[in-house]
Amino acid sequence: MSAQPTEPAAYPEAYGIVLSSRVRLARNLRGVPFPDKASPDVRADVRRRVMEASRDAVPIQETLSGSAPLRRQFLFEDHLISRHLLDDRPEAAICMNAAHTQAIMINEEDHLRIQALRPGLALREAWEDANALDDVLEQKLDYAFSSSLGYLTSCPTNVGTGMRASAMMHLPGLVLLGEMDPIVNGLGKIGLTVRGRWGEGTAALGHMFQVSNQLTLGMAEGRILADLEEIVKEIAGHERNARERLKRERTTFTEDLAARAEGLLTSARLMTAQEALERLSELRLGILLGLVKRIDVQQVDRLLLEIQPAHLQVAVGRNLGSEERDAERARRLRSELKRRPAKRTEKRTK
Amino acid sequence: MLCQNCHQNEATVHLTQIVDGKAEKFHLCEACAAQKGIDVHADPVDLGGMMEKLKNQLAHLKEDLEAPRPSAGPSVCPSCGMTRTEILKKGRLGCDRCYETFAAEMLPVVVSLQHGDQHLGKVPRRSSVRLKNSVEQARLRRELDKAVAGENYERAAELRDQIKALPLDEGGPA
Repeated sequence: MSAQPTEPAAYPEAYGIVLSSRVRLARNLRGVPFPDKASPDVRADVRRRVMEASRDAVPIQETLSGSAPLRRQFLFEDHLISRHLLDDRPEAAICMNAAHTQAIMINEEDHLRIQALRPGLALREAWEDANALDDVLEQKLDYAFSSSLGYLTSCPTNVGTGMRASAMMHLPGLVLLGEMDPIVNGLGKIGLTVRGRWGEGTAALGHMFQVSNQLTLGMAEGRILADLEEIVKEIAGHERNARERLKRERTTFTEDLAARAEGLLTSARLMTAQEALERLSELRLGILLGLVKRIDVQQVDRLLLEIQPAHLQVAVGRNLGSEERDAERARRLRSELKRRPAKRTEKRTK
Repeated sequence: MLCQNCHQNEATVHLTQIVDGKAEKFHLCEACAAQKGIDVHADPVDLGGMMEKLKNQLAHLKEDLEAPRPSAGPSVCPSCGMTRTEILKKGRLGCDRCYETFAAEMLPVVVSLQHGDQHLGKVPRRSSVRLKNSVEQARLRRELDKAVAGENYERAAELRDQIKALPLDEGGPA
C-alpha cells in the first residue's frame, strides 16, 4: 500500500469509534434500608417487589445469589451486571429483556440499577429506553426521593438524577500517538470520567475506553447527556484525525501493526485474552483504515465479546483450564478469521 | 557484591552521593564505611518517633470523629441504625432517612462532589404535587437567574409569573 494522501475517513462514523452507548439509573425504595444495611428478609422482599413490578418489561429474571460463578462472569462480560455483582452478593438478581439491551440489577449497591444499552453513539436513545423502563417501575414502586437532592442513593456520588451515561470508545489512534493522557486529564476537570474497559488509564487493554458523566446532581438529564455527547464527538474527531495521521505519516508502522495482528490471530495456537484483545484492536484499526480488506469490523466486534473467558466456556459447554481456554480462543480466532481459499489464489504472489 | 574499597569483604553499606548534580553509587563493607566516616548505625530519620506522633494524631482524629457534636444532631440514624462514624468511614449511607439525619455532614460532602445542591432532573410521577412543583420551581428560578443575568427582562417576568403560579401547599406528603 502506498502513502498516497488518504480520502476522508471512509468508515461508518457511528460504529467505527463509538461502539456503544449506555445509561444506568440508580433507584431505591422509600423507607427501606439500602442493600448493604438491610436484613436478608428485607432484601428478599425488595427483590420480590422489583421482580414483580418489572415482569412484563424485563421478563428474563434470574436470582444471582448462589448462582454459578461462570454464569455471573458471563453476564459481566455482556455488561449486564456490574463488577460488584461478580461476587456472590446476597439476594441479588438480574432482570433482562430478550434482546439483552435493557436490564435491572437488584440489590447491587442500590435496590435497583436500571440500564439500557444501544449500539453506536445513541446516548439520548439509551436514556429514553432507561427512562421508559423507570416509568413502568415507578407505577408500582415508591422511590426514595427528595425535592432538593433528587433520587437518594447509597453513595452520594449518584444522588440527584442517579444517572450515569457512558460511551464505549475505541481509541487506538490517540493511544498509539501518545495523545491520550492530556484527554484523560482534561476530562476530569469538566466533570467527566474516562476509564479503560479492561484496565485503567492509557494502559487500557484493546484501546477501549468508557467515557461517562461524573456529576449527577444540579443538572437535568438532558443537559448531562448533551454535554457528554458533545465531548464524545470531540474525542471521536481527535481519534479520526489521529488515525489519518497514522496512515499518512506512519504508513509502514501502521501497516505492520495490522499485518502482524492479522498474522498472529490467524496462526497462533495459544492466545491469552489480553493478547487477543490487543491484536483484535490493532486488526480493527487496520480494517477501518482500509489496510485489511477481507475481514469486516462487525466480525471483529463480535469476537471481542466471544473470546472472553466465560463466553468461550459457555460456547464449548464446560469449564476450561487456563491453557485450554487459550487454545480454544486461538482455535476460534483462526477459524473465524482464516483466509478463504478463493481469496488465497487471488492474493498469491510467489 | 564485594566492597569497592578493600575488595575483600561483602559490601553491606550502599549509598548514593550526589556530586555536581550527578548521582554516584558506593558499595562498601562496614569497616571501610566507618573508616570513611560514615556512621552506619546512626538512624538518620527517627522512624519510631514519627510513628508515635502519627499514632497520636490518628487517635485525636478518631476522637474528633467519634465525639458527639452538639450542633450536628444525632449520631445514629433512627431508621437504619447507621452511625456517623460508619458513614464517614465507608462513604455510603444506610437509607434514605440518613440524608436528613446526617444533613449537617452530608450536605457539604454532596456539594463538594456535585454541581450544586439542587436536583433539576426527573421527578417520580407518583410524588406529590408539592414535591413536583418544588423541583420545577428550582428549575425555573435557575432560568430566571440566567434571564436576569442576560438582561432578558421580558423572559424574566414570564418566569417570575410561572414560579408564582406553582402552588407549594397542595397535595400529600412530600
